[in-house]
Amino acid sequence: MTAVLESVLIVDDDEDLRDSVSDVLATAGVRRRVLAASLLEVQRQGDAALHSQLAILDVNLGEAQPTGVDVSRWLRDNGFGGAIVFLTGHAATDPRVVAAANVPNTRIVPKPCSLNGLVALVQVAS
Amino acid sequence: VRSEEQRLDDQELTTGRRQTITAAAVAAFGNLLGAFLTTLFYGGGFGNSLRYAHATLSALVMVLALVLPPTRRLIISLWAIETAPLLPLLVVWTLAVPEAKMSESFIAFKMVLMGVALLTPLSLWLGLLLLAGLSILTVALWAMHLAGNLPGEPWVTLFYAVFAVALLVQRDSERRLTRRLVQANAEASALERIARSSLAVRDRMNTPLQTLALSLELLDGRVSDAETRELVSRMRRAVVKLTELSTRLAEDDPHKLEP
Repeated sequence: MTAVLESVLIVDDDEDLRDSVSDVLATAGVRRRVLAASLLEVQRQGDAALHSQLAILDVNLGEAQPTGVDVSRWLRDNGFGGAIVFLTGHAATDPRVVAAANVPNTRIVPKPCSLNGLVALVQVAS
Repeated sequence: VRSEEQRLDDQELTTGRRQTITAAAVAAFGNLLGAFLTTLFYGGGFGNSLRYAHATLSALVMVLALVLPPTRRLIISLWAIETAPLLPLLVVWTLAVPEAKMSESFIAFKMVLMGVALLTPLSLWLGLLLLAGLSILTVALWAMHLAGNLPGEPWVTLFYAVFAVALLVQRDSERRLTRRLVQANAEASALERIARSSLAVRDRMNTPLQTLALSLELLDGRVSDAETRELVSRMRRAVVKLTELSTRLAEDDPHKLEP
């Protein structure tokens, strides 16, 4: 038997992708999706973001913007206890991806990932 | 690649100009010194008139090399104008001084041989031609018993000539090797830039591709009529092809992330 997480934080600077991931997770049964485009928006969401069970973070959140790694650090520093998954279209040598790989207890998933792959992220054995 | 070659051409022309100016300066100074010493020891003569003439020619070459914009043809021509008259002049100067008064034969020939080997700019063939001319004159003067009567000649001078040829060939092959290396480096840099661009394109296309793939999956689950499902299938096939293209762009990237 598999159950689905209750709440997921989705951080991506691409609005279309953010909405698509949210729709997929909604279809999979995730009841609460917290969407943000940047670290600032995550901070604005406050508790809603921090109480999510999973954070799906895009590594690159735009030029000269805090990266997904910065978001992960902020989450951990503020007591976020859920899992963190970095979603990236960049190569492993990209400095932002290297930084993401060095964040403890996280996973890196390359784009594009399949619908099933995305759903598997929110499924937990019960 | 072209800009690197252009940079190398400019560098070679600058070096060639410097070599021509140096040779002209040495020739002008050498002629004047030679004229002074000849006057001092042998009382001057026709040889000195030729020395002054060649010093003037050298000064003119120096001025032209300094003033005119350097081109390959100009530098080779100036070098030829500067050095070609040395062949008959060396004969006159050698014959003017009795060998009995000298400790070594063909001193001037040897100096010019080394000068040609060290300074001939841009053209290997021009250098080889001058060295051949100097060698032939040496042997001819020796064979006609006009000079080179001291022991060891003409072989000592010919040994200088062989060494000069080796030096000249070595300089030329070094120049060619540098050119090949610059070309290879420039090509490698250009290929690296292309590879980086294609990887950047791949990286940037992955986000919209991800949106398309997920949206189509969602759409597929929501439509029921056959006609729309066929349209969605067609779009999914297109997305699969684009994903394959993205994967292919990453094939040679040793740092790609595996799903």
